[in-house]
Amino acid sequence: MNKRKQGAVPRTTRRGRPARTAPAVATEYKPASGPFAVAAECTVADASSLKVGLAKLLDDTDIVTLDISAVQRIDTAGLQLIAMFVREREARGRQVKWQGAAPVLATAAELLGLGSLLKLPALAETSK
Amino acid sequence: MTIDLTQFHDAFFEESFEALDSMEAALLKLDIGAPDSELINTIFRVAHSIKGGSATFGFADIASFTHSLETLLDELRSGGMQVTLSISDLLLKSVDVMRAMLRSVQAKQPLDAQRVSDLQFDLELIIAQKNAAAATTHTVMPAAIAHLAASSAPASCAAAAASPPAELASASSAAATGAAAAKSAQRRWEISFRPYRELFARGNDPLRMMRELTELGELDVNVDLSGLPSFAELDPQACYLAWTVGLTGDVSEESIRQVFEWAEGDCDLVVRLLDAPVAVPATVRASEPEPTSAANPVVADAILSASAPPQETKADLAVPAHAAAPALSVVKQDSKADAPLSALGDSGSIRVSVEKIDELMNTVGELVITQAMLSQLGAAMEGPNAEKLRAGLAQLERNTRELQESVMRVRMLPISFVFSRFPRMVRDLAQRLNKQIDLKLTGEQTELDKTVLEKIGDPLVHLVRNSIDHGIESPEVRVAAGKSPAGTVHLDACHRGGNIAVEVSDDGGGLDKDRILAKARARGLVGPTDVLTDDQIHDLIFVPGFSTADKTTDLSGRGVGMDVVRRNVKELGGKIELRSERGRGSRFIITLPLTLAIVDGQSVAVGTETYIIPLISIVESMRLKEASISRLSGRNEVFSFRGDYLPIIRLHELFGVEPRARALHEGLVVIAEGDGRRVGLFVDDLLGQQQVVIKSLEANYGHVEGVSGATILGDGSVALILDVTGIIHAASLRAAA
Amino acid sequence: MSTNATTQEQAGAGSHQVLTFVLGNETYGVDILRVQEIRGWSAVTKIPHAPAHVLGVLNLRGSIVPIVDLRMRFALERAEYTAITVIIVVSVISAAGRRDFGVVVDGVSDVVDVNTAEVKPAPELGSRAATDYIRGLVSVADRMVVLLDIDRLIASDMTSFSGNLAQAETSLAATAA
Repeated sequence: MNKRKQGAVPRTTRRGRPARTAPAVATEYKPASGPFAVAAECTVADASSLKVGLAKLLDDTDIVTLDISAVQRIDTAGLQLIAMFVREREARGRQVKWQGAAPVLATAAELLGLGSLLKLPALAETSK
Repeated sequence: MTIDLTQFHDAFFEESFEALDSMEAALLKLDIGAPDSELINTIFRVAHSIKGGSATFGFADIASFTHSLETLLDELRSGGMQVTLSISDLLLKSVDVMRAMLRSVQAKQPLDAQRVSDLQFDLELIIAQKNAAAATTHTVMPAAIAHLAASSAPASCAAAAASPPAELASASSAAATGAAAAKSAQRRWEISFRPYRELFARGNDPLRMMRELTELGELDVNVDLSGLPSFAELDPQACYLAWTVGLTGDVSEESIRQVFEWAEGDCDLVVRLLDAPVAVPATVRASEPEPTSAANPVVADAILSASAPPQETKADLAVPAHAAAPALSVVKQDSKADAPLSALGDSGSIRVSVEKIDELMNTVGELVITQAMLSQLGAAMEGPNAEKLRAGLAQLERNTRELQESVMRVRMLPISFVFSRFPRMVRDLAQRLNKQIDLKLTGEQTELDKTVLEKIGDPLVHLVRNSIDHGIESPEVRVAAGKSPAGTVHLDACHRGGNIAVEVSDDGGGLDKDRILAKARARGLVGPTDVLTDDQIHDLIFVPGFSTADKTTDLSGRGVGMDVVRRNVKELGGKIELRSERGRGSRFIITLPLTLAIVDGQSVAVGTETYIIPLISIVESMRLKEASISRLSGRNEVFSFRGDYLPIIRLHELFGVEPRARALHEGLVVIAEGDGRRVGLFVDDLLGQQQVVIKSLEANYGHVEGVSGATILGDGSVALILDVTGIIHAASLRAAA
Repeated sequence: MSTNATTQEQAGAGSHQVLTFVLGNETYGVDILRVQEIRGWSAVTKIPHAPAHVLGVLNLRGSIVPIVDLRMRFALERAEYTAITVIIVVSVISAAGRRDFGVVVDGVSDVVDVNTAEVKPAPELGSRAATDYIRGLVSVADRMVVLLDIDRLIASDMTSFSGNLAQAETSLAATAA
């Protein structure tokens, strides 16, 4: 069964939800202008805590940087929340920057038609 | 607003487990190479309905897994892939995994997620490999998707996107779209997908649906953000987004709708063919967007979504301004998640709770008693109309009996419900033990009470394992013994005199009496010089902790021994016997009552009291001769019976009743068996045998040792039903004094 | 708990109906709401190891109902069971749920209205346990009626049942030892 390690199919494509052993704490708020690390799990189950974390940054006058490099899993609920955050920041004339790459997030955003709103860095660049 | 769906969980689990059983049975019947398409359809339907149900109830893991399974099954169904042995094994494993997942959700227990994801991986790998192979001949690959696929999109979806499966476009849907459909295989669809807020809570994820759409063709996704509230007001668990998706590909409306099947009832969905340019109505909703409970499909809507061809729908709903709109279908989708499941049960049947049936049983029991009382009264009646009355009462008696039997039959299920698990089990065990085994099932239609049926499964499993593990020899040994290399395990069920006999027999090596005896001697269970009959030796294997297996395998001999089998059978009011011949095989015969609500009893008289002894506990009844009685240590009375000395239990002493007969030769002994021991119950007289309805003594009073319940006799009086095992237990405490 | 609830209900109503019956020289009363049925005496089926005042069980429209002899329960002189001996079937509410019991009495007298305010507490006579099941005393037509709290009466019986059963078993075990 070694095929699964070397096969053409990357392991991240598996749709089966892994055991939810990761702590439910989705976000870690850093009050300084340092990047906000989005947790690995960004699904409907984690959306509430993610919202709490993002809400604190909503009125931050600095440029908010979201570090998405850790994101492993995301669903529409998670993406809706992030998109909402970005849109609201923009409505207030404030920017959101991205740090790191999250292929899962980028794919999801494209599929849901949210790519243009999020303005994620081009995949080709970040995946390097 | 979230609707509490948990109330429907039980029905879902029950139906799913039943469906999995039928899926497993179908898989086992599936011929490699030349599979029966009807069987594959059955298997597909099971996976499909479990997927739908689990999505509805928010069991995302199960939904996701079954989705992968369904994809593979769809390939098999359409002939895109062939059923191979490895696929068949994979599908059987999937049945196990789905069972485990359902059980873990049901019991709210954690699950071995690794096992699930490993298997899901294998499933997707097979599909991906197939699609990858197909992709070399298809070059249609939407650029955006290709771009994503190259970086990180799920392989199965990327590969599938590279090759829109042509077989998904079914002939019927092509017909449905009619003349409006372009001759070209490529069609342009517009999908308006407007989820309700609760979509996420139901375990649905639009992302997953979009991924599936990419498998169908090229996508143009436009998101509608107008429903979004302010960030502060946003409920992170609610869905505010809506989409309009353009889809180009050789796809039928049906296959598009299939993608959104899980979300039925949780969204407004409009699928339109765009070949003629049409203005889109801003919002097209057939009815109130207020979601209704998943279990309460609005009938009209269900019919609409289930059967109305698009043209008819259009006639009803097309707005005059868009009269030119071709093939517009608008469906307010309401969940019919449970419809496919119930469609599995082929005949017209309804689910009734066991409590209701028990209530019915009780009432009929009363009726029987009342009828018996009336009959007694009628028999004593004199006068001009007495004959007519008696004729009427006789009619009443017949009708009452028939009614009682019919109600009892409602609780009866064929034993095939239990037998059906064995083909799979035997197949797996034989593989693991390198034995060749033919399983023979007969009498599967024999019916018995649901409660009995539920409890007989485990003992039978143990017996069958035992036969395969210890009974059937390896092919080499069998051939050397002049037998065919394949052993036979035979399960049989039949009616036998008011009881059900279930037999597990094999043509294996049989029991080695010498070894059993040697072991029993070594353990001090049998004295070194005692001579035992064959029956007595066979009885030894039912002694707790007794096992003759050379090595403990993980199959049997794990401490759960024959003693447990016997105890389980006893708890059902049944008994188990063993016949075995060295070198020829063994035969276990389980005798069970038809039902637990009624018992065949022998009425006995002790003083003025009447007791009922269950017939199944009775070996024989006899009058004692003085010569056959001896007294041990002055007080304990025994009598000889077929070479054994059995203790005598005087029921009048045990129950504190004034007897008519005190001298043993004046009364009778009923030789009864309980817990593997035989005793003689001393009674005044035998009264007759009859079926009695078992009533609880504990409902208003409490448990009484030696009494299992009570019943109401024809004259309306109460008789206690004896529990022979309890009596032996109570008496042995006394006798020990 | 249920006893309190009943008392409150009745206090609120001001008066309640009581079925009175005779036992020896005394008149007793039980809350009419708890009475299921009044029926004539018929032979009971004995239960092994039951306390002496539990005569046995009867078939009451399909249920198996234990029958308690109140004379024996109250340590009165035992009377013969005759055609006019009456069984009052009452519902007892205990922690174990509702149970139906039959009590054998000499005869049923009447159904009377009892003004709750007129109920006097039972005098403390020596041991509390003996009067525990008496809710109070009331005078009806110049006769003293002892109002029974059947929940307590039978509840103490229930415990004595299990006690007796346990006793029967321990005595068995004791003889065995």
